[in-house]
Amino acid sequence: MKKVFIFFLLAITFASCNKDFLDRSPLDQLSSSTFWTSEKEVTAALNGLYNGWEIGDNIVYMDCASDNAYGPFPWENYQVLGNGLVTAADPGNSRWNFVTIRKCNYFLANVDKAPISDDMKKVSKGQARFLRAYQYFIMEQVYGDVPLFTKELTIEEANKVTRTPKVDVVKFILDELAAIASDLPASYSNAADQGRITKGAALALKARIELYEKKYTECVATCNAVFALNQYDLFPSYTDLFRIQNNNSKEDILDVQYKANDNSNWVLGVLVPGSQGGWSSIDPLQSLVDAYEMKNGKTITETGSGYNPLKPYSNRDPRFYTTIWYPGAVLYDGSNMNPLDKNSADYYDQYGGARTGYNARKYIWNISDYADVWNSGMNIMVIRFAEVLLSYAEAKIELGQIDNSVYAAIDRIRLRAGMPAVDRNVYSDQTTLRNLVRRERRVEFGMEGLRWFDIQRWKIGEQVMKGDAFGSLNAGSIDPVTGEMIFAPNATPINVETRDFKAINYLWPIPQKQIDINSNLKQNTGY
Amino acid sequence: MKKSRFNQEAGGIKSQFQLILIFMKITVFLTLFCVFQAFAGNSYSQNTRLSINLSNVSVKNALENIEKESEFYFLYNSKLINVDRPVNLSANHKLIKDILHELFDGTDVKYTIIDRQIVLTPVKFSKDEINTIQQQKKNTISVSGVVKDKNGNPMYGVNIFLSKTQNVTSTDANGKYVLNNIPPNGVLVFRFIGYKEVTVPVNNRTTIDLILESEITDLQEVVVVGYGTQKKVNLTGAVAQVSGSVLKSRPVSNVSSALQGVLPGVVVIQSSGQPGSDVGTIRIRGIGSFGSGKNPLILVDGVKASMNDVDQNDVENISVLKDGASAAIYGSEAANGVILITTKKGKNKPLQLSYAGNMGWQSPTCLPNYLSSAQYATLWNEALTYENKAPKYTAAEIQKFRDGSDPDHYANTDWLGKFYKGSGLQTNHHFDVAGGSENTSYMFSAGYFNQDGVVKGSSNTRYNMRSNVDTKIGKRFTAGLNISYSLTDFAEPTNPYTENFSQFFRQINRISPMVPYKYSDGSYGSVGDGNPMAWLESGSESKMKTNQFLGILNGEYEILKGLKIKEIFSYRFSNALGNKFINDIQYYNFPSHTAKLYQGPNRLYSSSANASNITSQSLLTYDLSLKQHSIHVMAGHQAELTRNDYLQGFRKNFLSDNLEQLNVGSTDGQTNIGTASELALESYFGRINYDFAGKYLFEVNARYDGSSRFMASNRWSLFPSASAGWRITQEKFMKQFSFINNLKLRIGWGMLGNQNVASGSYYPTSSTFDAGQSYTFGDLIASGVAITSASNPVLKWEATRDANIGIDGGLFNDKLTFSVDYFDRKSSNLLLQLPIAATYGYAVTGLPDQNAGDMINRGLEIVLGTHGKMGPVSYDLNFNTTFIHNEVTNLKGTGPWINGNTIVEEGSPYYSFYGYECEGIFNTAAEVAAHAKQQGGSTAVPIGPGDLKYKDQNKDGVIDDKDRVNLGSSFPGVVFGLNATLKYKDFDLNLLFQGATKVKGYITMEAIGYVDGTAKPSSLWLDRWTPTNNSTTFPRALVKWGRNDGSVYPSSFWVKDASYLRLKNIQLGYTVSPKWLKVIKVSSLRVYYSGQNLLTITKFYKGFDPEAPAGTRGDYYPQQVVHSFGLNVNF
Repeated sequence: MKKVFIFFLLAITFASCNKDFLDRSPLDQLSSSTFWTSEKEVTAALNGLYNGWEIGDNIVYMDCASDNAYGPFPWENYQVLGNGLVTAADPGNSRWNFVTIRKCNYFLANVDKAPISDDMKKVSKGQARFLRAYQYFIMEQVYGDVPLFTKELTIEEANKVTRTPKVDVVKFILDELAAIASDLPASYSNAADQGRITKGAALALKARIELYEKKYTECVATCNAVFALNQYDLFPSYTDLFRIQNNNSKEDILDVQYKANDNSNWVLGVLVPGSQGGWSSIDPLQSLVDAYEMKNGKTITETGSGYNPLKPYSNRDPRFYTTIWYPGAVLYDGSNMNPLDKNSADYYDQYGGARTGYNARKYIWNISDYADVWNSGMNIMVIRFAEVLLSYAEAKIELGQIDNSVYAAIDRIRLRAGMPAVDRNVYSDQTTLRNLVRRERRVEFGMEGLRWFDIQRWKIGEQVMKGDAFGSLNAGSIDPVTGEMIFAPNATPINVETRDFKAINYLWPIPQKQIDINSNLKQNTGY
Repeated sequence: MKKSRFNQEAGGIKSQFQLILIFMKITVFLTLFCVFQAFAGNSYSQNTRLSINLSNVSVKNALENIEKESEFYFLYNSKLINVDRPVNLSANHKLIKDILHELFDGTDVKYTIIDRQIVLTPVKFSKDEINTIQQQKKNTISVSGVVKDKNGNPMYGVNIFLSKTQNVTSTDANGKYVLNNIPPNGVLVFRFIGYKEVTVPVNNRTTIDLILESEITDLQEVVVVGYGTQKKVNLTGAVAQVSGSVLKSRPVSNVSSALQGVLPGVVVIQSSGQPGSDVGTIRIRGIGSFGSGKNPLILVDGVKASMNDVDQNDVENISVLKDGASAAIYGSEAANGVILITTKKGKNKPLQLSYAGNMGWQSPTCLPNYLSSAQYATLWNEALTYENKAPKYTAAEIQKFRDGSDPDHYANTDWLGKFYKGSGLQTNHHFDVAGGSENTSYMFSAGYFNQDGVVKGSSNTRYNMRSNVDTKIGKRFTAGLNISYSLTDFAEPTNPYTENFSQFFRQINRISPMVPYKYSDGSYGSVGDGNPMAWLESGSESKMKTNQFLGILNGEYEILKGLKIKEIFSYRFSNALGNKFINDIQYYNFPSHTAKLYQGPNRLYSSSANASNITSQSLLTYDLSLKQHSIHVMAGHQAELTRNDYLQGFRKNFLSDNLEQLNVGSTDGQTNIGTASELALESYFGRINYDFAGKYLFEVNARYDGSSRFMASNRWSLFPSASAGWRITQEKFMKQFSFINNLKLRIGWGMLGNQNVASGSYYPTSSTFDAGQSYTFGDLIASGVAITSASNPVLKWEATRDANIGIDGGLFNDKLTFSVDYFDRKSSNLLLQLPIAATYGYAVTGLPDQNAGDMINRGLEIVLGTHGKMGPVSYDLNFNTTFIHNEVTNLKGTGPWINGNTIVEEGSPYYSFYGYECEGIFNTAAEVAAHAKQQGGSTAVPIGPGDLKYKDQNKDGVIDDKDRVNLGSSFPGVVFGLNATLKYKDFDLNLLFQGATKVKGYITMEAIGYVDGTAKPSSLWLDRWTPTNNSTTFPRALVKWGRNDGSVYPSSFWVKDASYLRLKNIQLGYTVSPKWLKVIKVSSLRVYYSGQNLLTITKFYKGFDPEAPAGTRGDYYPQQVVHSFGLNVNF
C-alpha cells in the first residue's frame, strides 16, 4: 500500500501536463491562419483597408504648408513646411506611409482564397486598388520618386527597397485607375455602402492626376467621363455644403467618412478660435483673404472694386465668410472676434490666439451642428464635383480650347457661391482666364488642402511662399454699435513669420529616420 | 440566440465560481483543522487549574476525585501501580502536572499527560535509589527563577532539570519556573532548542535567573534560496537577505519602498509619491533588457505574486537572488534577479498577540517655485524688448497684479498653493496572533493602511488579512496553508481634458498666475486646456477597488530518511473594479457670463479586470551525510497557468453627477471592450549540492523551461548554473590567523532567461487581425479588421550569462564583517523593435520584436558591517555600495536610436540623454558672429547675446543634428546605503542613509516654464541673463524661446548631476521598561518616531526631487516627506 502511494506521488511529481498545455492561441483576436472563409470576413477585411486610408487632419492642416495659412504650433508639424525650415531631421508632417499599401497588397494577394462571387471579388479588389493608388498619388506628389511595389515585403526587402521614378509611379496609378474605373459601380444601391469608392471617385482622382501631370487632353476626357456618369452636381449652398447635415451630398465624390464616438472626426476642434474653446491651429494669411474678390466680381486691386483697406471685410465674395473668421466677425457666443484686444483669448500676439488675426471657419460654420466638435461625424471631402468642373476648365484653358463650356464650368461655381458670372470682357484670353481659374481654385477650395499641390505644379512657390507672411492689420477696435472692426489708420499688417522658399521645397524631404534605416533610399536633392 | 448565449456565459461564470467555492471550502476546513490541532495539543492540560483538598485517602480515591472535578482520565494497570497508598492532597488552583507531581514524586510511578489522558506507568528503581531519593527529599530546597533571552524577552518552554535525575520542569509563558526537591549542592541544566545549554550549580541558592544565548550566530543563519533554504555558510551564490524587522516601523506604504538602500546590488527608484502608485522600480544589478521585462521575479512563500500582496509587517525576511548561480533555478524568468519574500510563521510558543501601528503625515519633499503675476509681467515686458516690441504691461497694470486690487482682471493666483491642500494623513494598524505547539504553528494577522494624499481626492486604503498554518500529521507528513487576502481602495482625481491625473501636475505647473482661479461671479477662470482647480473641484474621480487572494497549500511527506516529497499548490486571484467618472465643466466669459469653453460631456468608464494564476509544484529532495561528505539533491516540476480577463463599458451624458453607474448614462455613444489572454508555463528543474567537510562547497542547478509564448520550435530552453565555495577558515593553516573567524571564497556562473518580452504580450508570435479597424459608411459603423502588428514567429527568450566572484569574511569574532562581489553579466538575444523601414507597411507601434541586442552589466558590490559597544551605547553599522557599469554592446548594426532627448547606442549606457553640448551663454554679438551658425533664430529675434551657445562638434560651421552628443545616463552608476542602529538603555536610534551618484537628471517644459500666453515661468528665470547681468545659469527671457528650450534643442545646459544623499529614514524609539508594563499586562511596548525622506543633499534643480522621472516636465506626483509616530506592543 505504502509503495503504491509513493509511486503515485512520484508519478504526479514528474508527469508532464497535458501535451497541449503550452499551446495557447489568442482568445480575443482572429488568427490570420484561419481567415478568408466567408463573405463576411472579406467585407470586414475590405472595411479594414478604409480605416486610415486618409484622415481629415491631412486635409484641413495642409493649407498651413501653403500661402493660405500659418500653423502656429511647431509640434503639429506644418510650420516648417510653411516657412521652408523643413529638414530631413525635422520633416514636418510625414506622408511617407505604406501602411495602407501593405494592407491592400495583403488583401489583394489573399482575397481570391475566399468563397465569394466573382462580382464581389472585382468590386472589392477595385476598392483596394484605388486606396493603394491614392496613397501612391499623395507620395509621388510630395516626395517625387517613391518605392513602388504591389506585394507584401519582408523586413529585409523593406529595408533595401529603392525609389521608383515618379513617372513610373504616375503611370502605375493612372493605369490602375483606368482599370478599376470599369470594375467599380457608379453608385452603390445599399445606403450602408455610401462612401465606398465608386467609378466616379476613380475617374475624378484620375482627372486630378492628369491635370497635375499636365496631361490636359486626357484630363478633359476624364472630366467628361465624370460628367457622363450623371451622378454629381453642385450642392445649392456653398456654406451648407460644409455642414454635417449635408454629408454625402451630390457634390461629394470622395471623402473620409466619420461617425461620432465610433470612428470620430476629432480635428474640427483645432479650427475653432481659442475664445470659443478651440485650438486656433490653422490661421489663414492675408494673402488668402486678399484673393477673395469683391462681391461685385472685381478683385480688390481692380479699379471700381470699392475695396476699403480699413474695412477690408465688407462686400466680399460670400465664400470668404464661410471659410474665414476675421476681426469683427460675430462668433458663436454672439461676441465679435477681436484678435487685436490683448485681453481676448483670440489676441494675435499670444499662445493660442488667432496668430494672423484670422481663424479657419470652413466645416465649423455653426458649432452647434455638433454635439461635441472634438468628436463629430463630419465627413471631410477629398474630391468634390466643383474640383472636376475647375479641372475641366483649367485643362481646356491650358489647351487653348477656350469655348463656352469653359465659362459655363466656372460660372456654375461662381453662381452657386453667390458671385456674378465671369466677366467675358475682362477674362477673354488664355492668360486672364488662367489667372481667373487659379484664383477661383484658391478661394473655392480654401482650407481644403489643395493649395500646396497647385503651388507645386504651377511652380509659383518662389513668388507666393517667400518673404514675410502677413496677417490682418495689427491695431484697431470694435465699433460698439456695428460690431465691425475699425482698424486704426496707423495700423500695420501683423508680420507672422518670415518664410523662405527654395526650388528644393517643391518636394518634401524623406524623413531622415527612413534613410538611416535604408541607405538605398536617396534623399531629394537639397536636403 | 441571445438567450442561449447568456446562459452559456452564466454557465461559465458558475463553473468558475464553483471552483473557487470548492477551493474556499477546502481552505476553511484546513484552517479549522490546523487550528484545532494547535489548540488541542496541550492546551487543556496547560490551562486547566484544579482545586482539590483531600487528606488520608488512597491514591485511587484521589485519582477518581480528579476525574470527577475535571475532564482528565487515568489509565493504569492496578497490578503494577500501587493505588492503595494513602496520600494527602492539598491543591489550590494548580495545574495537573503539579498535582501529579505532589502525588507521585519520589515514588516509582511515572506519569505521562497526553491531552486529557494521563497514563501511569511504573519506573523501576532499585531499593537503594529509592532510599537515596527519599533521603535527599528530606534535605532539599526549592529553586525558582526567570529565564529570558538576550533581548530580555521571557522564554517559554525551557526545560530545567536536576542533573542526572528525572526531576524536570519547564518555564511558563512568563519564563518562570519552580523546581522542588533540589539538593543544595545539585546542578541545574537549562536546555532549549536553538540555544546554548547552560549548567548552573545551585550552591544553596533558591533563586536562579538566567539569560540563554542563542546558538544561532551569523554563521548558522539560514538563508532562503530557490525552492529551499541553505545555511549562510554553505552559500556559493550571491544572495542577499534582509530580515523583516528592518522593514518594520518604516512609514512606507509598500515593501518595495522599504527596500530602498537596504540591500547591495538592489536599486530602488521611487519616482512618485502618490498614494497607491508609489511602488518603487526595482533593478537588480543593472538593467538587463530593453523591453518591458526589466523587473525582477517576485515570489511570496515560493509562488509568483506581487509585492503588493504582502503587508510589510507580515514579512519574515526577504531574500534576493542576484547572480546566475543562485537564480538559474528560476530559469526563464530570472534574468532580472529574483526576490523571495517569506512571510511570518507561528513558533512553538504560547499564543502571542502583537500590535504595530503608526500615524503620520506627508508633505512634498520639494515643489517647484513659480513667479508671481507681477514678476511675470515684468519679465514678459523684458522679453518683448528683444523683439523690439512695446511693453505688454504698463507699470500701473503691474501694480494691480502686485496689490490685488482688481483680481478679476489682474489676478495673482497661487496655483500650487491651492492644489496641494490634501491632508496627507496616513495611518497604519497591524495585529497579529502567533503561536503553536510542537506539532502545529499558526500566524494570523490583519492590517489596515490608509493614506490620504497631499492633493485632495488622492487616497489609498488597504486591508490585509493573512493566515499561515503549519501542522505535522503523524511522523512523516507535514502540511501547511498560507492564505492572504487584501482589499485595496484607490482613488485619484481625473479630468475631462485628458482623463488622467498627471495632467493636473502639468497644468498646475503651467497655468499662468494671471488666470484667476475664480472670477468674482464665482465662475472659474480658464485657459484653452481648462482649469486644473475646476477639474479638482468637479469631483471627477478615478477609483480602483482591488481584491486579491493568494492561497498556498503544501504537503510534505518523508518517504525514507532524508528523502522527501513536497507538493505545493497555489491559486492567486485578483479582481480590479475600476470606475472612472468624469464630470463636465462649463466655463464662462467674464463679466458677460456667456458660455465659453465646455469640457464634457460627463462620462463613465467602468471596468473589471480579473487575473488568476494556478501553480502546481512538486519537489523531491534527498539529503545524505556520510562522514565528511554531505549531499543534497533536489528535483522538481512546475506547471503554471495565468489568465487575464478584462471588461470595460463606457457611457456618457449622465443625467446625474451622483449616480456613477453605467445604466444611468445615455446609450447613445456607449462602447464596450472585452479581452482575455492566457499564458502557460511548464518547467523541470533540479539541484545538487555537495560539500566536503564543510570546507569545499559545490552546487549545480538546471532548469528546463517551456512557455506558451513561443512557437513550438523555440518553446523549450535549458538554463544551467554551477558554483563553488571554499571556506578558507576551515583550513588548518588559517589557525595562525585567529583574528579571522570567517573567510569564504565564492565563484559562480549561470545562464538566465527572460521571457517577459514583447511588451508583455502573451502571443508575440501570432499573427492576428485587429478588430478595431472599423470605418463608417453612410453614417453607419462598418466593422473592419486588419493586421496592424507584424508578428515574429521565430521569437525566443532573451538570455543572460552571469558570472560572479565573491568573498565573505568576518574578523575579530565577527566584530567586523565584509562581503565583496564582482559580477559580470551579459544579456543577449535582447528583444528589440529594430527600426524597420516604413516601406514594411506597419506603424512603428506595430513593428515586431526581434532577438537582436546585447547589453552588459558589470559591477562591484561591497558590504561592510560592524557592531559593538562604546560605553553604554551599543552600535550596529552596515554600509553597502554598488558600482554598476551598463553598456549596450550590440544593436545588430542599427542605431543609434534617438528619441527626442534620449539615445540608445552601442558603447553607451542604455537610454542616455542626448543633445547639444552647451558651451555657455553668449555675452556679445561678436561672440555670436564668431560662433558656428545656430538654428532656432528668427528674423525678428536672431540668435544673440543671452542665448545658449552650442558646441560645433563636427566643426562644419553649423550647429545641427550632427552636433548632438551623449549627455549621460539617468540610471545611477553608483548607489549606496548606510544603516546605523544605536542603542542606549531603553532608547534606540536608527538612521538609514541612501543615495546615488554618477547619475544625470533633466527637467524640461513646464518644469522650467515659459514666458508666453497662459504658461508661466518658474523662479529659475530670476537669475536669467540680461545685458547687465551676464548670468551663466539661465539664458535670456524670450517669448519665442525655442532656441534655448531643452525640449526643442536638448542640451547639456539642462542636464544636471542628479547625485544625492538622502536621510531616507530616521527612527527614534523608546522601549518601555518591563517594570511599568507588568501593571498593564503588556509584555513589551515600544514607541517611536519615524521620519521618511527628511533630508536630501543634492545639486539638482531646486524644487525637483533628484529621483524625479528622467527628463520630466514636472507632471508627476511629488515624492513625500513622512513624519510618523508609532507603537509596537506585544501582549
